[in-house]
Amino acid sequence: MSEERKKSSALRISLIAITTAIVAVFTIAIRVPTPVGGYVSLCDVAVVFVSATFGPVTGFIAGGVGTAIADLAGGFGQWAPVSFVVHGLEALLIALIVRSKPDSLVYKLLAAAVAILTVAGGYFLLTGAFLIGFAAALPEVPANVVQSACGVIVGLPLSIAVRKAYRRIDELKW
Amino acid sequence: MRSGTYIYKDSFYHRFDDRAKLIFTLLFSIALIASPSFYPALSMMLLSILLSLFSVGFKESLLNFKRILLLVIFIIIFSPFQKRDAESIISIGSFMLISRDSLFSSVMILFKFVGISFIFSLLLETERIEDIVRALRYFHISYSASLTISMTLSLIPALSYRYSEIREAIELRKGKTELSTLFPSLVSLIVSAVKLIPENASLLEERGFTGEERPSYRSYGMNGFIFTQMLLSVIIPLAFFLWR
Repeated sequence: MSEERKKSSALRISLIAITTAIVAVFTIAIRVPTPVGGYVSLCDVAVVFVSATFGPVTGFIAGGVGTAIADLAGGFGQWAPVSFVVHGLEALLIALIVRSKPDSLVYKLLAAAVAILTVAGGYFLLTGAFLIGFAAALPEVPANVVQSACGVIVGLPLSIAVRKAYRRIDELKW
Repeated sequence: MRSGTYIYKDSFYHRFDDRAKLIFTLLFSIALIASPSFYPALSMMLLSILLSLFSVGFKESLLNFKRILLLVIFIIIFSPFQKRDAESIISIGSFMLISRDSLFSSVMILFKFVGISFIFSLLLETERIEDIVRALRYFHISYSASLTISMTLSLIPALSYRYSEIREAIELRKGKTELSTLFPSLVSLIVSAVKLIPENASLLEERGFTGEERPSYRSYGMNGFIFTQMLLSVIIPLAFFLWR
């Protein structure tokens, strides 16, 4: 693949559209049942995968827009701006941390801590301030901690597995 | 999966111009968030519910409410205990349980949350996604951004279907679906999706896409009422905003 092609607008648009769709599908369509009868969405798994594989810019757009589209499609439109900011920021920070030392376990643990803090803290602060109040946002924190921790635990190995299965994936980065 | 939320009806709000509706949704939400007083917030919440009832009917409005019910319960249960520095309404001995201030702020949060939820749901239930994208194009969202959004929206059902095919194939091979088969399913889905990236890029280039701006082939016709509708979209939220 030539250098010009790598950086072409068509490739960028295609990359962003597909990674955004992956995040949206992981959020709406793939739900893992929990022992208490509920469901856990895999949105953070997709956000971590995209940011660790394709870098901060693609991660920010796909993570933010993908989760916002999922909220809009799922009938939770009022959450879309919050999801855009929180998951976009989560993707950006994870990509920046993981990219600086890709093979370091310490950096991966740091990325996990940052993801948990961003998602749990971000949802608490933004939904608390603008949507449901801090008292009602507080019970949501443990679920967000579990979901974002699962996101890093599954998302980072997923990035490694996909890289092994499709070696040309790094040529698509920009 | 519920990929489309549009409900086919011929209500007043369905016929309302998509550009005006976008402006109305945005300004209405801002006015509701900024509202400091009881009656304006209550009126805005009631207006959003009434609009929903008249536009999509009782059944869909009830469904919208059911989606937010859990958080409404959280607000009712947890919010009244936040502030304990004003006049007491309920107290146990000398311990103030609920104050007038905390009850007021809980009710305000409830009005705002329900109102914003209904007005956002209503936008998506009365406009098709392609019409929302067209309205965004009207407000000078770039061609590349609109194209990316359109491509994403068309890819979501396709990838969901592909995931269900992968799960079915694994189920047939293993005999049952287990949590342990989830990871290979996700890898397969992502690999098949990522392989589409260069294919789609080639298709875009073959169609002459260069990344430059181009006019939309879907344009707005002449609509005599657009000025009135835009005016209403601004005046109604502004009136609520100024009512303090």
